[in-house]
Amino acid sequence: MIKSQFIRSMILTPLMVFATVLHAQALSGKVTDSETGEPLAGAQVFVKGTFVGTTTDVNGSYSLDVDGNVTVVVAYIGYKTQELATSGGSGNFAMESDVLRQDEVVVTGLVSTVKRRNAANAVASVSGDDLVNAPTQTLDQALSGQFAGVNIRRNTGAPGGGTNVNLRGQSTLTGSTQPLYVIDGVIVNNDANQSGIDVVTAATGAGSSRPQGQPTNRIGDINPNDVESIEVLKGASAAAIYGAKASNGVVIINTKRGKGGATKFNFSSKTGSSSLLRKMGHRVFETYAEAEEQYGADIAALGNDASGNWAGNDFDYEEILYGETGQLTEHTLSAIGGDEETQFYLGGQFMDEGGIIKNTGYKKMSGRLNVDHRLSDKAKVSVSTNLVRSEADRGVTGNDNTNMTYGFSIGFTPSFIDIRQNDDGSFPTHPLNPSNPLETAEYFVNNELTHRALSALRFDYNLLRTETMNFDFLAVAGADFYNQENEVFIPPFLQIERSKDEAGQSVMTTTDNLNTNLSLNLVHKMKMSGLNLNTTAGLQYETYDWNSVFVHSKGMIPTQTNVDKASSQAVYHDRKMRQDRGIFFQEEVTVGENLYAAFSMRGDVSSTMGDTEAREWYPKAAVSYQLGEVSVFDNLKLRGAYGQTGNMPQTKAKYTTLSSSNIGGINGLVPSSTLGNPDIKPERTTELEFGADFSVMGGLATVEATLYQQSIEDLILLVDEAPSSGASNSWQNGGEMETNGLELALGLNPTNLIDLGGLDWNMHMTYYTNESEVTKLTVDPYNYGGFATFLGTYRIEEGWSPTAIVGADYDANGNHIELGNENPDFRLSLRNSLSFGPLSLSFLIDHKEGGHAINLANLIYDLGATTADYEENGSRTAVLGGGSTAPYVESTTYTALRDLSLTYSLPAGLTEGYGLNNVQLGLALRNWWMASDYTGLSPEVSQFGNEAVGGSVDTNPFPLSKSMYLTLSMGF
Amino acid sequence: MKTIKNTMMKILPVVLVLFWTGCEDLDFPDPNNPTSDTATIQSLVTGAEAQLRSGFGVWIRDLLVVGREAYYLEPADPRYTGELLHGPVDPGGFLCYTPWAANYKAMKNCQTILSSADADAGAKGFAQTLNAYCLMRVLAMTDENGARLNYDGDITVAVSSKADVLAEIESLLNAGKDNLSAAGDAFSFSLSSGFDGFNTPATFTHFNRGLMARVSVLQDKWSQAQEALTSVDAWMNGGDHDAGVYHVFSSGANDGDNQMFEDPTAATLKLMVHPSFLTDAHEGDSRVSSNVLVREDTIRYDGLESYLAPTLYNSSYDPVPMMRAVELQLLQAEVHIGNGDYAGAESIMNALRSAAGAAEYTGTDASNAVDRVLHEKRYSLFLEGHRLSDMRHYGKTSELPLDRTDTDNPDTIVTFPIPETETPG
Repeated sequence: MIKSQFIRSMILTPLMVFATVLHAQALSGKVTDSETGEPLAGAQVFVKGTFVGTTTDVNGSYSLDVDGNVTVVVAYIGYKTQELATSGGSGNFAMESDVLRQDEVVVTGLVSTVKRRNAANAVASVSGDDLVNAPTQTLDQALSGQFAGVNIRRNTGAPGGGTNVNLRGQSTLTGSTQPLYVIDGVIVNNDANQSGIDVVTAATGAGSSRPQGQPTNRIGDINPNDVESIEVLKGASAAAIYGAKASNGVVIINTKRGKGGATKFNFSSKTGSSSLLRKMGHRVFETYAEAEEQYGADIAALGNDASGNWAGNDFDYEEILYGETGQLTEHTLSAIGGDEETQFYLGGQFMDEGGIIKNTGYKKMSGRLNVDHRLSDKAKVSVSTNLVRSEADRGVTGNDNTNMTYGFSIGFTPSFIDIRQNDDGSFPTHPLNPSNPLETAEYFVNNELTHRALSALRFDYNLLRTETMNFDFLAVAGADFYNQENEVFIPPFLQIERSKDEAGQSVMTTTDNLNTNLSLNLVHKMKMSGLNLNTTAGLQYETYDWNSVFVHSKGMIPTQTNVDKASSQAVYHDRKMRQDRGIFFQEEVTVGENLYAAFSMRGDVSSTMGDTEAREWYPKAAVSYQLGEVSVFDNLKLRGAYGQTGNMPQTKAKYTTLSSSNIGGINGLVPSSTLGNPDIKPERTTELEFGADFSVMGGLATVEATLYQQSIEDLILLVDEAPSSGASNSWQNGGEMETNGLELALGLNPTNLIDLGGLDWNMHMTYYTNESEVTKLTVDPYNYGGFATFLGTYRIEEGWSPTAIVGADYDANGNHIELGNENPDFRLSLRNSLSFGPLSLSFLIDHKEGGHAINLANLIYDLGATTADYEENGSRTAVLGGGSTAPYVESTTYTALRDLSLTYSLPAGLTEGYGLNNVQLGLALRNWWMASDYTGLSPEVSQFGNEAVGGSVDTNPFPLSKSMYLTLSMGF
Repeated sequence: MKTIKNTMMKILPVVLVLFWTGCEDLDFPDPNNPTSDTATIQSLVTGAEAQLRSGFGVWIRDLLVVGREAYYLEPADPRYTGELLHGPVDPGGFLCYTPWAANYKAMKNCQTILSSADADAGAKGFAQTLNAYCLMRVLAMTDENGARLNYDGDITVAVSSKADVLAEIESLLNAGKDNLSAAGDAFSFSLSSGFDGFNTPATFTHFNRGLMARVSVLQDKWSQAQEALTSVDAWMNGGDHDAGVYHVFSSGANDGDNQMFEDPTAATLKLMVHPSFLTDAHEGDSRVSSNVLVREDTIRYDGLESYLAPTLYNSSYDPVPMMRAVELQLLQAEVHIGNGDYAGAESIMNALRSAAGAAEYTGTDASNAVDRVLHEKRYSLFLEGHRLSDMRHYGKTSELPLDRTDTDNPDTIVTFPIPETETPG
């Protein structure tokens, strides 16, 4: 105690001396919004070039002692920074909104930020308001089309999602492609867990390294309404400080936080409906002869009426099965308030969305409480907690080896046969397919229920503050726990089951996961004349502990669903564990207003590395310079950044083990099919990025242009082994890849230049393109992904794009011909926001040009002879006899209207009497329209969506839906 | 209060740092599976036996479809009705890869036993016999393309020829027999109930000799076959045709199931008997009616059709034979034919035929003996996967129905390629 008092006095004494020496004059005033005149609480007011400053109180008022002639700076998020030369007295500031967002801060490190105007990397950020124009079930879907270079794909239209988020193209062949998600400073989990559907459809076994069934992503649990802002660090040069987990980029999410002042509530209610967006169509049989030629007399006779004449039936089973109208409801309530010491944000969400297939839908309840409390003028503690319950009923779709899924079954159902429900409630036995999809949809259960608790605790402590120096200690601790239960149940009386000796199946999967994080940081800032130094250093510790138990029961006792009420059970248990430790150091220098430079180094060790002692180092260097007004440019900035990141090996990659294979109750062991590698190390991505940002014509247009090159080395490959050795493959670091890309972001604010008669219009457009190439491969070229070479697969070969699609098509020398490429030629998105008085309109159009998918949905329909174009093109099934795969590789070009919202704000005078403010009525559309020549259900499809390579395979996923909502929101 | 708060504030960083430095070792073992040094002879023996059933489903379908004993009408995978009937078989596809890899994984366990210091003579005899059996299963598919005799994954070593593989099979069986004879009265490990009656060194030797008879007959080594058959006479002629060695299945954890079972009355079926099984049958032969349900409807897929559903198995856990007594009798008949003893062969065949209710053969001679014994093997060993090897053995694969052809492959395919990943490039 004596010692700590001594230290405190050592620190405090210089401050006291400092304070008594100065002859301060008071400056006081109010900070307000220039448009509304409302006071701004929490705005920062400080003397330029120093740490002398204060923040405004709940009335927007401040008082600051200044010494002599100084420049006072006022900054507030979302507003342009203002300066005032003063020597004291009165200073009021009417803040203007920062349309160009140049004064917004962007992330440069784990605990550091820089003003956007100085940023050395392309900035991709979006405010929470832009995410919730029209509701989405999951957070990742809300990001679609929002950023240049961020490719977001819905693997399935199933409730609860299943989304692949890919930043700046391919960076791995076998590893995870998903970015790292960081919420309020804490790394959160984004697992995609096998639902058990794969096992009953026999698409793949339990614990498969290539799970199908298009699982949901756990990041989808986050409520987009709680989000204040999202920032995406797209490449290694921006994300290097996150080290060995950041090769796929980092998505940094900040949730809303409290503000001082009277508690403000906001309530919104959205209600609407969803319906089928696209169909595949089907073949129509005009005559008995046509049906007989295809299916034989027995089946063709099913198309006859009672008197034996061709009935001419044409049942649209897509319409019958996918044509339900989903009822959609979302209610959110939030409260923001607090005083000068304690602030809180409370957010609640209830969502209930019906699906377009019977017995499907999504429900989510989320509650968040964020509290910030200032313990003293030196210490502040911030707590963020989030509890979520999400539940999805997803039906049975996608790949199948049993002909149980809806898409496969419809493909084997010619439209002239009637498999609709009988009057007595029973379903006819399907004469051509092992299951009647209408019966399956009626009774099949595929339910996923997740409970999740996220919490983050942040502790800020000011160790030292002088006029020119600030030294903070900052600790962030977080935990993210979820429990996911998947239940798949097929009653024994269904057609697919009733002929089995063990009829009925029940699959119960329980997955628990805990991620923990701890980071300890020191942040030192120094301001000298014209020079700012920002030094950060710290430690990071993370654990990941995933534990899943899976029970598959067969032979269900009628009416029972519990996994023990069955004649046999198979049980699987799988664990994944990881522990990572990182250290980092970063130095940032700002010279004057215009030159910014940064250097950092991160070192990581992880339990997933073969050698857990060999720390991997990831450096970064970045510089930006603002040239100001140059010829036609109002404000030109040039920037360049270099950095490295890693991608961890899978948790199992270093172990060579035995697997269990029993007979007659005796334990047996056999070699695992995959050999571990005790020397495995992370993949390493090196990125060089250059860019220029400028605005022209008084802010009419702003442009951000970025070029980047990534080279990836030590690619982790699953290399084939001769199966005669007892193993099929092994993990190796052995390859290099290069990705080049261009990203453009264009903002147009016509209102800045011309008066549109009260119409406020701004437009934001993004364009990006990238290309990857395998530049070195230490193993023989190989095919990867898909189901077989002739069914379309991906080619991994030096000089080829890793997303090139090949099949049974060869040139004269016997080499594969490229039939297409998953990677699009370019992506374009356009957001328009217009407001006129109380009316505002915002919509986002998303366009993908090029890119291909392997459309095996067509093959399935062809095998059932039911494809819409079967009579002209049915001969493409020749692929099965050694013909070309090309007819099944299709362009996935599309244009979609992602969201549209039209709102009308009721005049304040009308609602104030009821204590309401900001009352808005609106209409919102989500995924309302899509134009594409792709003949499958969805051009975004991916049976293997979470795989780095081999994703774009279409085996009839859950169809996409469009939704419309009426919205009401109000504050009080 | 204030003091406590301040104290806490100072202690907190220290606690956090201690927590960070005190965390566990990063280099922990695999949380899921045992490492290779934990395997015992028992677990290797059981692993090998259990492994024989892994990949069995694809292996038997391959042989049944190519040998025209059955179709596998799998709408979700058209390769069974395309590739297998008109070729060429994709050396990178699962039809070729899965059975090969599964058999070699069982052989890996045998090799581990053979190189283990803990293995006694019984374990070695078991491992050698099983290793030979796996090679026979591989050769049943690849035939002239041979197989690998090095188990170390070195693909620069050439794939061994059929002759070398056959020689290795004989050598393993003979070495196994010698080890078994030195193994005392009982094994030091347990076998599953599939080896009931064959689970001591002496009785397991019968399985070893039965395999020797099978591999000798395929090479026309009649006297070697006769010697082996004579040594298992009690099994062969013990009165129970079904006595033998089986794959067994159960619903227990990590156990397997009989992948050939389907309800023959189900609306749709995958494994359907080749229509020629009925059209080629002799009048009154109960080996048809007891093994096949003649359905009223026809199941069609991909241009193929059949109304014959197999009724061989009644549940997903019915055992599947590796070798039965009746096979030994038919091997004996082949040996007689090879030795010119047509009357001896006829008497064996007639015993089977009269039991089945078919008319007895008369006048068996050089001109018809082989066709007759092939007919009897086809009907007595129905769906056991011997027909392709037998037709190949007597050069009669061109007599198998074509079903469909490809311009590049005018004849039916008779051999499977070596998997792509077994050879360089």
